[in-house]
Amino acid sequence: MIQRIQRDVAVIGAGAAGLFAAKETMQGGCSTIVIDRERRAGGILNQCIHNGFGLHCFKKELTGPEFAAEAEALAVAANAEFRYGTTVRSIDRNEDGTFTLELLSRKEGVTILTVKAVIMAVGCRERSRGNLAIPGRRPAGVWTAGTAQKLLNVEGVIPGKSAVIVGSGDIGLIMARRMSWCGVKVQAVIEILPRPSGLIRNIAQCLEDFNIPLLLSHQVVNIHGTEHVAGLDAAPLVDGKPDMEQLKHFDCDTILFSVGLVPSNELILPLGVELDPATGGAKVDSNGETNIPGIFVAGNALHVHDLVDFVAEEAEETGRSVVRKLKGEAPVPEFAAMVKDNLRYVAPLKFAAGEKIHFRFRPTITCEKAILTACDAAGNELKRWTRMFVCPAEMIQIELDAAASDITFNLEEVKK
Amino acid sequence: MKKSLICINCPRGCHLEVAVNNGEVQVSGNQCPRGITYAAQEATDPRRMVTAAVPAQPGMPCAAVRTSAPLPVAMIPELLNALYRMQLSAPAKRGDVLLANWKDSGIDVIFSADFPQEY
Amino acid sequence: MIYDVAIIGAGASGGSVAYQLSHYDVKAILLEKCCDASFGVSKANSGIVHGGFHHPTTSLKAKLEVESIPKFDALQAELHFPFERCGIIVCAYSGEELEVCRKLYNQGIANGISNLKWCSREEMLALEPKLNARITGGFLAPDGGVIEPYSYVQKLVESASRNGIDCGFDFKVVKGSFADGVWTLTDDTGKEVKARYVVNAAGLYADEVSRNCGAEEFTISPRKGEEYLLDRNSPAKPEHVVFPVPTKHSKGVLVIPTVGGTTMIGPTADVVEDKTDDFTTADNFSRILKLVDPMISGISARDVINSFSGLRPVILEQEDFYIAPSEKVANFIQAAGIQSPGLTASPAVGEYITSLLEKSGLALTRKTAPRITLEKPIESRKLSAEELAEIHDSNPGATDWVCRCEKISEAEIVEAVRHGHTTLDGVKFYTRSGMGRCQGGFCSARILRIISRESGIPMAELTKRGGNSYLLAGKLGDLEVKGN
Repeated sequence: MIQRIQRDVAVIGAGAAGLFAAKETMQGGCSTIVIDRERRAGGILNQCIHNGFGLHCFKKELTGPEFAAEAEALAVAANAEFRYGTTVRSIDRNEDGTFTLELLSRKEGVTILTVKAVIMAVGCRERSRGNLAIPGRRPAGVWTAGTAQKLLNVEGVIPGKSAVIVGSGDIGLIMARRMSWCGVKVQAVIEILPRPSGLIRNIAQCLEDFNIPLLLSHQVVNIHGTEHVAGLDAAPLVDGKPDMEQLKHFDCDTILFSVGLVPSNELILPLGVELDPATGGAKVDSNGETNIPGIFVAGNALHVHDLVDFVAEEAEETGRSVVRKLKGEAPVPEFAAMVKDNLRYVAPLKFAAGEKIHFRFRPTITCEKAILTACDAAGNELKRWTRMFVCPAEMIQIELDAAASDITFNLEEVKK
Repeated sequence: MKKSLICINCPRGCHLEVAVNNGEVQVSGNQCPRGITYAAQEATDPRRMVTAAVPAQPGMPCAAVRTSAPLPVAMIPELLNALYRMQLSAPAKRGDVLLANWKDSGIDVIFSADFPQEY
Repeated sequence: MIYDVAIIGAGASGGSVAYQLSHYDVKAILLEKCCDASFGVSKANSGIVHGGFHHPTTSLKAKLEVESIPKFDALQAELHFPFERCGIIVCAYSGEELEVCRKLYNQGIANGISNLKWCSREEMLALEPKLNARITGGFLAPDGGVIEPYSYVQKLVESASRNGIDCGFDFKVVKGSFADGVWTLTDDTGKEVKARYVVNAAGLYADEVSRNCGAEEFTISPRKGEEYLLDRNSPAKPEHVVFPVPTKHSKGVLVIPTVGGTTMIGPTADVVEDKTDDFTTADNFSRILKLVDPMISGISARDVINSFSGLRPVILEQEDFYIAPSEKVANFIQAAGIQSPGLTASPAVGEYITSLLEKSGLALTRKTAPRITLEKPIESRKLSAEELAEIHDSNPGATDWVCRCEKISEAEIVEAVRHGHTTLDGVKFYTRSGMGRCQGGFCSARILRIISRESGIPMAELTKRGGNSYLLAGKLGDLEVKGN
């Protein structure tokens, strides 16, 4: 039997973004159902058993599962409704502007849900070895860092005895420590860029604590092993090309890839949602709304954040926008936000004048001190912010009383 | 003796310089008071928060645990080895104590999530 | 016991022979060195049912290929493997290429493929709007299509097994001797299987098996093909299999809309020494991109989700299939050098080898009892909400998604394990789980848990594809944590 239900808002994903968004929509008086394929709240936070979460949101340092539990408690207190172990198979847009979602779960079978708005809080996925077309053999023992994290922290099994980590993203660094703490010998972290991709404190506490070398500007040129991983070759980059004369060989039985995250958009692409090639996520306005009215995106599904606290904050804002939108009180975003130098992207890309707007960026440069400026269409500087230590691993977030003009953001290094 | 450190208190990751002269600790490079505390601690008695997955009975996911406060670095391996030898089955709530006052350190190991979780 | 027939190799050829023999009152065993069917040459394959025009009319290849092409519909109806006749187009981008194309077309007609359709430039573009506008012309083979090779082979073997053929996996034949009308085949652990007839369908290792049995000396030279798989959302996905005009040694680098919904580009064709060579290289990746990019619009390196390589078992001197009774030893049928179009030709290969067995003296009586058919597998992704709601009552796993990218339900994973596929690749080949854009990143842990639960094999002992391809080194606590 198919169950048919109606709510105001569907939040897809019960990770940090979904829980904080649902708390806001419920508090704003919109009936909200939170759907997640896992059988519990928290999403990827549940496998992130390390600490370091929550300093902004909860003013205390929490582990991933603790952050998840605190966030879930907020959504529960706001009376949100939950469907765990449930997959959204499709989203269809109806003629009246509502959406019909097909939900599948082991417990409830098939549910057809009709809502006025959808908040996509589905997070991101890891790029795999295959995604990067890394050359070499195809033995067992090659994992993404996140999969290895789940195997170790949830399933309690060890992927191997001796590992090399490819990519210095935060998950890779965290896994270097985790595996060391499980008795696995981590031989090296190999990064193709001249700088680490993860946060500095993770270099300190996850690599330096365990004397794990970080090889910057190195590329994986081969993976060995017929049945199981037997080793890996990396070479330093000279003029952008691996220098085979300086090949370094590692004997290892496990290779973890931590080579970037990609927002998940599969569910909303068929609706015609436009993506921003710079983020891989949807193009949204200052309401968090996509070009398809009623479809909102927040958190890592929109752009990959460095901190869960920022995910939560962004999702809260989106939740509030959804409430205003459903009440017909949302401002109409009509001005464009753009980035010029040293910034990879800005979200949102459109905004409404007269509002306090949070703009979020990723820098492309690393420097001790930088100045971010906002200029209007005529080139007049509206505001400037000084930032100590900027790097691509860290998101920049600013608040601006938005003027009635298109805005261009620019980041410049301040040389000593 | 001078030592360079990266502060691990928050994502900013300040580059600290710490000098210990006759028991007196001098710290520079910090952007907040927590940096001073961290550097002083690191120079005299380095500690880390320890988090771990603790094995459960077959068919159950691991339990997530953490220490109630940072543990002296030298004590970490022994604690982890002890945790991995366990096989939990009794239900517990987040915040419940798994091991009290580990080796007289004054530090407990506590559950960081309810156990068992559905998966 | 003494079998009537032992077939060595559970790939497309061996599997097809087993399937054919299961229609007769024959005691046969299918021996395979890997732990599952289709784990050798047949797994790394372009997954195409070819059009019957690539090979010379006089070749055995062409004969068996052309005979086989019409057989796939009935096989699919019986065995339920993914297969679709999407058609094949061959594209010429110059006057010179057009001439080669015309020869190919004429060869196809001569081979007996009467419905090939010669197309002008405009007709080609109408058929396949994503083709490069520089195209000068080409032709369409409407009966060609795409197939999931591993699933096809697994189903052949499953059907054979359900209908009385024994399977001996993890049996690597290292010695064969013939005495008193009986072959004794020995594996690398000393196990023995006795049979009156032997079929050598050992793929890349057919030369070694032949030598170890005292039969003909020949050499299988692996010819490697690298392929790259693109996301199902790739804008390059064509409607038909898109071929260039062929080169001397291969059918060229193609664009394939796989039956699973992804797009595949490749393969290369390079002779290699090592029969375990499964390297992919950065050079070949750019080579393929360079060849494919001018053919069709929308190809992007960013859409690559995986790469792999396969080895074609080639006998260099002859290029044709070598299917014949041994002239050196008795009761031994060689089925070697079965490279492309081996998968396409496999239904007729099975029949042909069965007829050779009969000519060599094997008595074949067709079974009178009705055949045990394979039940149609659950494919949740293809079912409507109403159908899923109905199935849910008896099989709640059908609405429990495990592989999010390819939309594979828990019921399908469970079914794969219950049909004997207990490795990660075995389940992947049977269900498609893990073949999508995240490449198993999200579902591998859960699939391992399901395999472990259903098979009783502890999780830490599971493998990717049998042998030494273990996935995990043990449980937490197996390794001691040491201080710095």
